[in-house]
Amino acid sequence: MHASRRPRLTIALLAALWLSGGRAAATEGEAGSESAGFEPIARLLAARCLGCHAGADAKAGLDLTHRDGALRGGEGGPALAPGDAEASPLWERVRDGDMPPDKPLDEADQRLLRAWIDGGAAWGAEAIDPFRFTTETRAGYDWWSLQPLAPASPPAVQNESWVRNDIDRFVLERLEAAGLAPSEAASPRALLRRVTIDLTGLPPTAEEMAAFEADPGDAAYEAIVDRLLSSPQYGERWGRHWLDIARYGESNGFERNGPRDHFWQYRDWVIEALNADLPYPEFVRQQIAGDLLTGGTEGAAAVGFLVAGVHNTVVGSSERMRRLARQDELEEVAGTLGQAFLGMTVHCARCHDHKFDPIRTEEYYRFIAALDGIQHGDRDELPVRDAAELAGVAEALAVVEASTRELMGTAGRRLAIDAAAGPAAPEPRLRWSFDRWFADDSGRIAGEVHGGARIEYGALVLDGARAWAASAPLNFSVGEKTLEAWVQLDSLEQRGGGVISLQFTDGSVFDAIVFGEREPRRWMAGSDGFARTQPLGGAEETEAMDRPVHVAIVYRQDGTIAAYRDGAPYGQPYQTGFATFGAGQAQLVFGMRHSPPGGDRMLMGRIHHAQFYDRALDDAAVRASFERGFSLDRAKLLAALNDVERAAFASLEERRGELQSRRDRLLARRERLYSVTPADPEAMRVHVRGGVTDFGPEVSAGGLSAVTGAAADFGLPAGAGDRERRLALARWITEDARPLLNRVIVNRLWQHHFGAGLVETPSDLGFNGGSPSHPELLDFLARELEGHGGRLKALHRQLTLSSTYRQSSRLRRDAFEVDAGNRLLWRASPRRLDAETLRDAMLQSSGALNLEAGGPGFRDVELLSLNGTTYYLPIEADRPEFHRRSIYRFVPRDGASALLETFDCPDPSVTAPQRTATTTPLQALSLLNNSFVLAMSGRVARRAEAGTESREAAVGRVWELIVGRLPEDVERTESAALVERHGLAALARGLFNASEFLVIE
Amino acid sequence: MSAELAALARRSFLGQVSTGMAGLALADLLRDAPASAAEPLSGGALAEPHLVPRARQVLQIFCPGAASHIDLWDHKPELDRRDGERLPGEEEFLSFQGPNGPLMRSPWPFAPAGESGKPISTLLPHMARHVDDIAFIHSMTSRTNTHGPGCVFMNSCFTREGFPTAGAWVSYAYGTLNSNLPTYVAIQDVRGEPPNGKANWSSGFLPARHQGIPLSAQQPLRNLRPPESVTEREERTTRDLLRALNERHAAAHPAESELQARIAAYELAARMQLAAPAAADLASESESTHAAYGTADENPLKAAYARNCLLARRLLEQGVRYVSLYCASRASAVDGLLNWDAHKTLKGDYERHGPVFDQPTAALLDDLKQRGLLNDVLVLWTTEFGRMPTRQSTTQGRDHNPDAFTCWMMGAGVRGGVSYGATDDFGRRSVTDVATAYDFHATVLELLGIDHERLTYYHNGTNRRLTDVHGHPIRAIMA
Repeated sequence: MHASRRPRLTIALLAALWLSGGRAAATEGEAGSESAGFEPIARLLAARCLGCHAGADAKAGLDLTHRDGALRGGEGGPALAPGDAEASPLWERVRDGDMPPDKPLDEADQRLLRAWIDGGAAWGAEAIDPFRFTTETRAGYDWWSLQPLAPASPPAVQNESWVRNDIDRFVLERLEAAGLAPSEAASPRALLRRVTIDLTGLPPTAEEMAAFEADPGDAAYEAIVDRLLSSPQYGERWGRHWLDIARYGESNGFERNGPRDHFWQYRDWVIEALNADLPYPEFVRQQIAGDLLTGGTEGAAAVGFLVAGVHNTVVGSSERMRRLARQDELEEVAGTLGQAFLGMTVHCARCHDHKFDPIRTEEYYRFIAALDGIQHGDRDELPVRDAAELAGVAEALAVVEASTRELMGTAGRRLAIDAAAGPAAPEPRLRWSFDRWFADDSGRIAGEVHGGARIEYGALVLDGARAWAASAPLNFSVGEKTLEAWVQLDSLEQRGGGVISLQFTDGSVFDAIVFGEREPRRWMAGSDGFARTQPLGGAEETEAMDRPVHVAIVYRQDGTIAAYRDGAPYGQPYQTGFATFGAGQAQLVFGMRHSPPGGDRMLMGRIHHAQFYDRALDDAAVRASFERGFSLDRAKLLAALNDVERAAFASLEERRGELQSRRDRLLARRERLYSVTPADPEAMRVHVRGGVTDFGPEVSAGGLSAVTGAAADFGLPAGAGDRERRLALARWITEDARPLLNRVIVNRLWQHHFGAGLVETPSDLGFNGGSPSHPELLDFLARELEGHGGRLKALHRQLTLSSTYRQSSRLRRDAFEVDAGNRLLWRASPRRLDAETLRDAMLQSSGALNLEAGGPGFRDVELLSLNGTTYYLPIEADRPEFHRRSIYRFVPRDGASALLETFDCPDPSVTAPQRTATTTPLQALSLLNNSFVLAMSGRVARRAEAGTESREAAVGRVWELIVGRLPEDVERTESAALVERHGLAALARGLFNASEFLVIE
Repeated sequence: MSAELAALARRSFLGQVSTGMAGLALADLLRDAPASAAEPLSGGALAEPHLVPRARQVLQIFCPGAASHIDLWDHKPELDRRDGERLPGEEEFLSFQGPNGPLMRSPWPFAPAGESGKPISTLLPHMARHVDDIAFIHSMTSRTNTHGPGCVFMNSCFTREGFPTAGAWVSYAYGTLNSNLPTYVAIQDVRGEPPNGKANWSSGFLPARHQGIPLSAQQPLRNLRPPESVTEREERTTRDLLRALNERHAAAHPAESELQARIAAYELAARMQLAAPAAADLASESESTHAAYGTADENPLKAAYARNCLLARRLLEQGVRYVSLYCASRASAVDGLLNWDAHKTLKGDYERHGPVFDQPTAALLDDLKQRGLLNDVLVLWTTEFGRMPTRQSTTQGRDHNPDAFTCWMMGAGVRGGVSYGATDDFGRRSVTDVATAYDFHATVLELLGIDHERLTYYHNGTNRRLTDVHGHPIRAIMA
């Protein structure tokens, strides 16, 4: 007996039933220590009292979860006198109807309570967990969706002949119990259109219609289902459903809404995974931890799920606002993840224990602790196979570099330039010598040159117009920092060129060493909109054309900015704001103040050496770095070596050359992806009431105990790294929580084949969600999926081959009066084409459909960047790339396609497990007058005309192309009359607006 | 489902609606045919109001960019007196764009206006005549100090996109008053969309028909007209064919309300094609009306906004339920040029924006009053947050201030001539009766007869509300 939303049984009766079984009884382990007689009392207290009288902040200080609390009592003294109900205030208040407020206990419960107190008020040994039982106002651990899958066997039915597979038994049993018969089979035309759209998102062609009408047998139908499931369009159709859930959007949202130019890989990964029929648990696992499990482009693409949501790139200068933004972001990820995979609204427990489901606030913070390593950012990745090779090359290079350094060290010592002789130079986090290739010297941070920038004699040469270089996004966050470079200028008259700049990859925020921008010939600390720029008061530059000068700028947390030239302070430090750069958000650029390239931002000159410190250096350290110099004359060093050493050096150099060219070849294949750029998080603490100023205890990553009991504890320390946390979460969701995981996905499949899920709220199987119409069927399907090895296609096959699926959609009065909502599935529910299917179907009718799969999406918007904010302005064009399927549209937030939006395509800002289907006058206007519809109508007309010999045949062809059949006589007459006067395109335009086209029967 | 059954009972399960669709039969259809299983086409989710409604339409005037409370509505004599001193207690304060300089008095003196003697900035000489009808809320606070999220927050009570805005909630609650026009219209400024654009009139997860429809004197309704290549005759013949097809289809599928709703939607669309241009036709207004609004002003920005004001009145008059009217747009490359975001040169910026806003808005309010529309229309004036009483350390402008700003209401159900809540002596923080967007919209809903805690829509595990889980109606400003 599991709890359902509307308890119809009295508490006492439920208690009796309780003894017959239930997971909580088995797992909570209280049976041994508690007298069975306490069970009904525990349930009664949980249902009616513990809502207020539980825990540390219990009302009136009275905690009724355990015996001591009841005996100690609250503000009114002890609540309980065991053995004497009349002397117990608890009983008095209940008897007098004061408690529970609003709705007193009924007589049976009153008797139960009184008898228990009179009988000595025996308690169980453990406190009653207020979440243990489902009550009228909330779900407990005994909630139906949290139970193991029931071992349901398909029931017996009367009308055996209707049954095609076990699904039909579950459905028919309920219909028969309601005195209803199922509907007749759908016509072959209706069935073919339905199944083709359901599995591929495209309607069948007229030829396919005709073929199936000629041979509508079971074998032919099965063959069609198999053909559709193995077509590439299957993944596009079901990928679209998944992307709705994943809130897949290709811009950041919020204030700046910058585009994500490299996020389509996630969309392609989803489509390909579905087409390959990746087992569902694996599909899920990869989306949580693919970068850790599989790695490479494949893994980085899969975890796009985690960063598909909105991302706030402007959080201002206040620490409190930054923390709040981070907590909001984690809530968004946790909420989407919990709903998508488990149908649990975890995020509702951020500020307080979940009001409706058994999830504590502390568990919410355990859950987000598992996700706290996630940071948004770009990654440059190779396909897994190439990545393995690259790792080998990098390792070999490191060995070569180490040996070379050792030799040079030897030479250096001989030249008496021992490190110990001078002040120890500070070690930078990153260093660029620009001697051979453009990664940083450790080779860990890749980079690339642009606009003809080149490396020449150990310096980066910049033309002041187009040339610049950039590192890959930094995989660590930067607070305090020091920028340092040895730079030689080609002109002292240039104004505004950047030497080295740490910037957000979109250029919106930056700190840079800049020459001559505000004051000619002077160095300054450049920043976005001069937000952190003030005059330094340093001297005019006079020497930088003749020799490399050393320039450094130090940025401290308190807003102090100090500049140095040739190791000495340059002007006066000043205090201003402070910018931080999150992991994966920022990169270093050279020769340019900030992105985009061009204008006065470009430097003319050469950078000999550059160093970056993720800390603030003090005066002495800057001086030491300057004195140490960036490199020694190589010729001098070589001269200090003996012959053997020189030979060794030469061979090392040769080896290094080979490795570097291999490495460069591999690196050239790298692909940029918007993905997770993980960073090890700090220990998570409970944030009291969801705020960012008041903290509770430290928590370690974990799942939800309501779902898996003890397995929700991952056994990790609070300080565990991102890897351990996310891997544990992925394992917990896909293995421990498998029953719920399966229930949720089979329900989604059902939803998209039958118009509504067995549970009508597909992302919420909790208390606020719907109850399953066919709970046994849901569990049966969840088990079937397990039996299919998690492969969804086998389940699709089962669903679409059932008699239930093949019913007609015709509305029957007898059934409608009993079950207007078709919850019992007495017919197929008619549905309107969704926005993308509508558009794709028009493309198919017109013959313009371009089935090119994958890659960057087509952009029917123009990107306009103004003051750091990106705008997406619609453009109209009738070009082949615009004729790709709608799933390949570039989907920025706040940049919806007018046509799709009007037909209820949601903005991808929040997860959308279900679409509404409205019918509005604006849809009518859109379908009649939108330029796309008109263009497609024209194409249908031309296509029909070209393939037929007579006007009459062309009319028929237009009908076939749009609704898949020839017109009836009266339709033909009416159509001919229209075409006579206004042409075939007018007919096509009319038919695109016809209910027959818009509705899936 | 019960709604559908009721509709079924009314029509006694016959396909008779499917013939003779024109004329009066349509009216019946509109009443009876639900748009989808869950919702009627023109009605709202509330069978009846929760409370006695004092207003039934809303006009929301929005000045994006964070219009400065202390330079427009909230007079601070202490600020005048201590101009040039450091802000006590916050001498080293860092706000959105960095360090703040000293206190800076408003460049415009305030003068008492109306019988109430409420001091109003002399930057707004025309608005001053309305103060006795206005209820000011001087103690507003925001959750964010960034424009885009701030605008969306002021409209939807969420900083993140994806949630329904107030207009969408009202549409959802009550439906339309005139099905020939959109229920919720967003009139954008000629300079462009406000920060975060369309999210400001989004229906979020509510059905798409509740979203605000962008429409302005400069930009007619999208797809309203057939393209020029389609002649009137072709249009009529095509639509006749379409109606015949759809009616036959509906007849073959009796009682499928969705099919009848589609036929009705096409009829409505046809009427909207006539009604919308008529509603937007400003030419029919008298010369004196045009002059009062300033539609021919030599300042093109003012003239454009004046036309939008006039459009707003016409739409309200014809029963549009909720009109959002924007005065200014997103930021531009220069702060303060296209909206009220005066970081650098407050005086210059507001001497550009004030006159654009002042006369046309005041004329609109006069017009609404004279026509008796204020008996039905609740007028709101909003912005996303306020500005600092200090100037920025290196400019003559003010930085963002989420801790204090002013919004106001007037018209149906509102007590005029009152000021609710207060900021401190400098306008730096709201200190008395501190209010939020939640309270503001709880008040709006209550004036419309809606208990803000009971207007809900199930989405992703929660019965969502406009006011999230917060909000208290401000009854002190209700008439």
